[in-house]
Amino acid sequence: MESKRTIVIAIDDSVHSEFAFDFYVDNVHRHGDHIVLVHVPEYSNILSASSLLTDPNIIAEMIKDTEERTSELVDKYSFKMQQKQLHGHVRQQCGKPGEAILECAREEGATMLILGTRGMGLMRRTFMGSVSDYCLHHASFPVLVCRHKPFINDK
Amino acid sequence: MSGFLSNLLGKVGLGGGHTSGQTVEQTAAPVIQTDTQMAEESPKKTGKNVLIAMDGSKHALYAFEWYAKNLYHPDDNVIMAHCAEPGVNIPPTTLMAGNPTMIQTMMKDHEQHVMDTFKTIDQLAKKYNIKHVLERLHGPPGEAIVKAADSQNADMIVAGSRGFGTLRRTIMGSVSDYIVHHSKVPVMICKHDDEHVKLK
Repeated sequence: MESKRTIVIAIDDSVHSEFAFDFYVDNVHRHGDHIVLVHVPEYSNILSASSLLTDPNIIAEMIKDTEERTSELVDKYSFKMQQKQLHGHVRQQCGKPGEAILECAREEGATMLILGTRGMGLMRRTFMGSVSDYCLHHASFPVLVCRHKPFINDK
Repeated sequence: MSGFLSNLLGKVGLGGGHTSGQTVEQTAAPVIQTDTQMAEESPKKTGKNVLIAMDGSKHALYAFEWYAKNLYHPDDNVIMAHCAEPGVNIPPTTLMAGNPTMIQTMMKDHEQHVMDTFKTIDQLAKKYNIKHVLERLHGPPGEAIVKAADSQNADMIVAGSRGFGTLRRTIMGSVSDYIVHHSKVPVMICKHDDEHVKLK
């Protein structure tokens, strides 16, 4: 009777994603869930810096660096999925994080979207990051926003 | 493990590969090494404490039904919280009119309305066979819900995205907005199907 659910979880390097993932596993997961981990690697900072740099090698380095971190991230979560015997795959999506995540979730036919409240962004002047805020307001499916307790005082 | 690792790295396309919409397939391997056999039991779940914000609107009812179908675990402790805020339904101008009988009638009506809402909520929970606790909160809805979640040690809050409030700011109700920004625990926002149409 239970139809197959597609759970989309947005991930990045931050501990907030990890918490969101763990929360899903502990409290939301149901047998048969198909999990899609979506990661939006950040290349925009490289592209904006490129106007200042004239050396293409530096840009190539930065891109390689981002790719390495991305593959580390993919490994980390793939391992976690294997450990818990979860079914699913990892996707990389291009574009602005909020839009890219929703694009991916829509394509996958998400039953729900799960994210942390913050990511790697350095702006900590709000209760919640801009990506989770965007997703919450523009998603057409239920969204689970996971606030990590120790971080509530992060202003 | 190393073979798997290099396989994965290859798929990620290290070394200048394009990344647009690239999918890295990683299916759960049917071959499981013996040491992971220890973690064999499916992710162990004990019940969680869930606070469901109910204002009686179709959005809240939808959120509850969604919870019942998708998140409910038989060991969950479900708290269905209703914040009966008279200010929402009784415009302050009528209070200023100063007619005690009228005010009394309005308060009585309001109480009746609250009781009806609780009955609806109760029936809905029974329909899904979910053992639950009904709780009445006071004060501004957003604050009351977040406080209740805190005092009841809720593991998560479930809310619809719009309710009966008179403020209809943007695409998400002000109460659900408040909850998401001030909750100390994960919040599940369930959007009623009507909302999806508006977003197109």
